[in-house]
Amino acid sequence: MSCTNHQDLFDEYLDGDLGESQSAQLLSHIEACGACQTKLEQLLVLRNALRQMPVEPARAGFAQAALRQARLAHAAEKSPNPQATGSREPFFRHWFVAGFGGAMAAGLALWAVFTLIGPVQPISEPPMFKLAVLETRDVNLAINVPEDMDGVTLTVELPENFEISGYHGKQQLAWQTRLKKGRNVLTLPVVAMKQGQGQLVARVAHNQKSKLLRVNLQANPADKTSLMAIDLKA
Amino acid sequence: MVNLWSNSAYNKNRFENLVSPHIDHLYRLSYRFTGSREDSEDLVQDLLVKLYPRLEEIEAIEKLKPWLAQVLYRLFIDRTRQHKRSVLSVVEDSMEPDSQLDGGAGTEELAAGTLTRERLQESFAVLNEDQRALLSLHDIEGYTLAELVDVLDVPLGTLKSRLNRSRAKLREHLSREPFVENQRVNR
Ligand SMILES: [Zn+2]
Repeated sequence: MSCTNHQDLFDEYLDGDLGESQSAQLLSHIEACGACQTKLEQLLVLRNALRQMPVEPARAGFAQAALRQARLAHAAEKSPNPQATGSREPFFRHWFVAGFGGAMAAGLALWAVFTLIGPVQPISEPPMFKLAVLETRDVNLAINVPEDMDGVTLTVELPENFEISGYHGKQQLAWQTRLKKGRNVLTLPVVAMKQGQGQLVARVAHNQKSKLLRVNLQANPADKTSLMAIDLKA
Repeated sequence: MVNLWSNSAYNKNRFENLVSPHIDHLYRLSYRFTGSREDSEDLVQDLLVKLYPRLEEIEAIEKLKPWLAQVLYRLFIDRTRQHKRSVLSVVEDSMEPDSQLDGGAGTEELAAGTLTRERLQESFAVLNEDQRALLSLHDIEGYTLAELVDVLDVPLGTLKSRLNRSRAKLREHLSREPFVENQRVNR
């Protein structure tokens, strides 16, 4: 068997799903083969690193509240009252706000709503989003269009102290996409690299038409939580 | 005893007894999928609402944990496709590396422990929903490939190549220059 064949069995081996004789055969190859040893090590190292990624716990009382909500939603659905059945989505939102109050508001993604074509509401001042240095927050840009659009070019320009998570060092990103009729949401995970202010400019272009979306960003000094993230570096 | 309860109270208890022990796990899985507490709570909430009327079906399930993972996974994929992915996404398909089992870059950093948790999370977030879900289920939460063949309804061979492609993409992203880049340019 070739090295590729052996490496193909690594996952089953680590899952404990390989039979005894196959395991033994695989192990004896690995012992003798430096390349396969390295591959297996790489697999384990990556897996361990992934497993150490932290999970932010749910809010206290979440499980009970969620179970109760499931029950209520079901009861509402069974009820002949059309008002109760028709209001599912807002009902959830309402529950989140009612259940967790300010905590929810603090954690909400930031929204900016724009209309690409058609009656444009004049936006006198771009919305201002604040985040802490090294904090990543989703900035959602909602773009309303009157019909399906193919071949739309989206360009995002960032002020120098901000980045899109995963695109380090890129101050400008551009890509092609299509927009569906109605509301389209673009989620940008924005990271503040340094303290300061700036403007994010997104350009949506289709045929001869284009629209600029501007969002002001403000990075404030990192709080304790963000600083903990830096300490992990070493 | 049962007669003393109203029917709905009885159903409530049956549902809660079955599902409660799995909520923590489902939340954790959701968090791996979505990367945020709000989205995870939302997803689990949505799942419970969808499951509540299916009590009898749930009672007949032999292995509830992987079954729940499956429903959660489908809900997650449906939701992201509906809300985001089919519409707009920052991740370009062309970024996907072709190399399969290429360990290479990023791994040394991982081994040396110099990789920041932040960077790993950042890279993990760059994967597409399917890739993130697959690594979450297999590499992180320990579902075996044999289980995932059922959960994801995908043949074993496909599963393996997807897994390898996801890992390769993760490593490829990790191998890009980390934060020091800017300082270097300035000097
Ligand atoms: Zn070998």
